[in-house]
Amino acid sequence: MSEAEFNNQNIPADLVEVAVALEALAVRERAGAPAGLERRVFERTRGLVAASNVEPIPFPQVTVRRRIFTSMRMAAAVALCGVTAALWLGHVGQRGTTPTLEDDVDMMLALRSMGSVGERIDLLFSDTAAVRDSLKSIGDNVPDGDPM
Amino acid sequence: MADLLAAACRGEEWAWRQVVELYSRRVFALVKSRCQRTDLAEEVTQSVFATVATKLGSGGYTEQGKFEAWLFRITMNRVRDEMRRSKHRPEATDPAVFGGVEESRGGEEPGESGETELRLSRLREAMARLPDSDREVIELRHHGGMSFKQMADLLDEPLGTLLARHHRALRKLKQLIEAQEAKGVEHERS
Repeated sequence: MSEAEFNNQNIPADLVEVAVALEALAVRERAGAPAGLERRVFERTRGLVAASNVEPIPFPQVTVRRRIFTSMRMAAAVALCGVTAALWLGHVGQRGTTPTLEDDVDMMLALRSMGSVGERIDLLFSDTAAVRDSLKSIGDNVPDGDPM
Repeated sequence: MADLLAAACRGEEWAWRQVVELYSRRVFALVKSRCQRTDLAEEVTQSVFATVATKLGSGGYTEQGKFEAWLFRITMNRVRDEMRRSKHRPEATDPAVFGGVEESRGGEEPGESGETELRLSRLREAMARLPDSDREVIELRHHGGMSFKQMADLLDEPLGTLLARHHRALRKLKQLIEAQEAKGVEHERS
């Protein structure tokens, strides 16, 4: 770089000489690189760049059967829960009308698999009481002497 | 340059050869200025270009017009790593460090060669005494041949700050050289 070019960089006048000397030193260092430097650097690195030409190894595609199968299982489970809930809600809805003995027994059977053990026991007790009441009402209606 | 790098990324050897020829000496000069050993400077230069080649070959570089900043960032990081390792190594014995007699350049008179070598020797000694941050700016600018715009991209600093750092580094160098010259004059008198 010439002295004029250095001046274009707004270098103070008293520093231009140092800047010119630095540039001369840098040129000498570059020129003083050992002979064949570029060739050796190229030979030792050409393989690294050429590696980009290698085609990637194709790996087998992973099948999606497992995912579909899992989805179907989940859908079946949801459907089963829905049917059970619909049955239960149907029986609960009917509680608003006068429940028959058969209704009470059906509800007990439907609820057998629902809830925790404690909850089931509570439900059984309450339903047993309802059944007892139903039987009692039937008994009250049986005339005396009827061997029922 | 973008086309050349794109071709190198595709693995075209002719393009990579041109990249090496364009930049290897600049990288070497910067590294040599710091480590003062020719063999170590070539070793570091090989390492830098191996990193660059690997990144280009694996698609780890995206051309955004900042190849030089990226290249010299790798170079400076490698130089720092090497300097940390070299603290445990023996001191450099390159004759240039001690201002010894170097082979004279073509076209120079013998008298001028001696004076030139002395000036360059003092300049090298002064640079070795600069703080790292000042020395970094000098070496990137002169030995690396980078523009201030490229240095701003590399160092992530405003252009004005870099110019001020460069001027400050030049002033320190001037003071160091003048101190050496004054010491040399006193030695001759005594």
